[in-house]
Amino acid sequence: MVAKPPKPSLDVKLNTRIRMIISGPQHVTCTEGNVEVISSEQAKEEALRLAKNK
Amino acid sequence: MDLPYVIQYLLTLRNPGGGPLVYGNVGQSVIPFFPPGQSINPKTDPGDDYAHIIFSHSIGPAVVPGAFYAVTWQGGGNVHEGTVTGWFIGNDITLFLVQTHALPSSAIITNISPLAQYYEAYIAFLRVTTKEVYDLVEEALDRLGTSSKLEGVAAQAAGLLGEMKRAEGLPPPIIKTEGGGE
Repeated sequence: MVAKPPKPSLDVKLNTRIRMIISGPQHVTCTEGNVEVISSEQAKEEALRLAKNK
Repeated sequence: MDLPYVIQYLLTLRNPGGGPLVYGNVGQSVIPFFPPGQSINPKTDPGDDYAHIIFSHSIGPAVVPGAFYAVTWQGGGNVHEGTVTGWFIGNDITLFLVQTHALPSSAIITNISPLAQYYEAYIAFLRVTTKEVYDLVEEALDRLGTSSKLEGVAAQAAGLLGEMKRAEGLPPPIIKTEGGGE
């Protein structure tokens, strides 16, 4: 007997961390949910670091 | 995008100490992975500046029409609420939203689609660095209003004088409504 594959579910995504990338002098905060606000410079540095590690 | 006249005008003003009075700037928000059914509630203030005058808002063309529902408000009043439709994505929204630390703006953006989405938005704004600059901007707008009001009144007066002359069977007077006197 072949085991049934697990049923796909969207529930797992409901508390996924969201990254919001902001550029400009404005200041943005998110008080609710699992949201991380980062600057575009920070995102660029991370992208470069990942590219170099490949 | 053509800049609204009032924004062009403010960008031409010079600081008494030298340099521009206000600076044009563009802010960008990107959410590379926005899970379905989730919401974010960003609250935005002018950071190190005294105020930001937001005059344009746009959504990136890669955003899927109908995938998001957005509510934006400031103080007690809603600026916008509705589905982020194709029209919204294809057009810049022109506004004059003054954002300060005392009056930040808030939003709730929800991914209402069954799939994870990409989100991207832009605002164009003027940076008002200090309270002194804010007062100068206010004064400049006040003067602009008075001047255009006076020109409107002068044009109306010229029309009324023309009517009076015509009633007497005379040609209407030529009245200059702008520029210096002779």
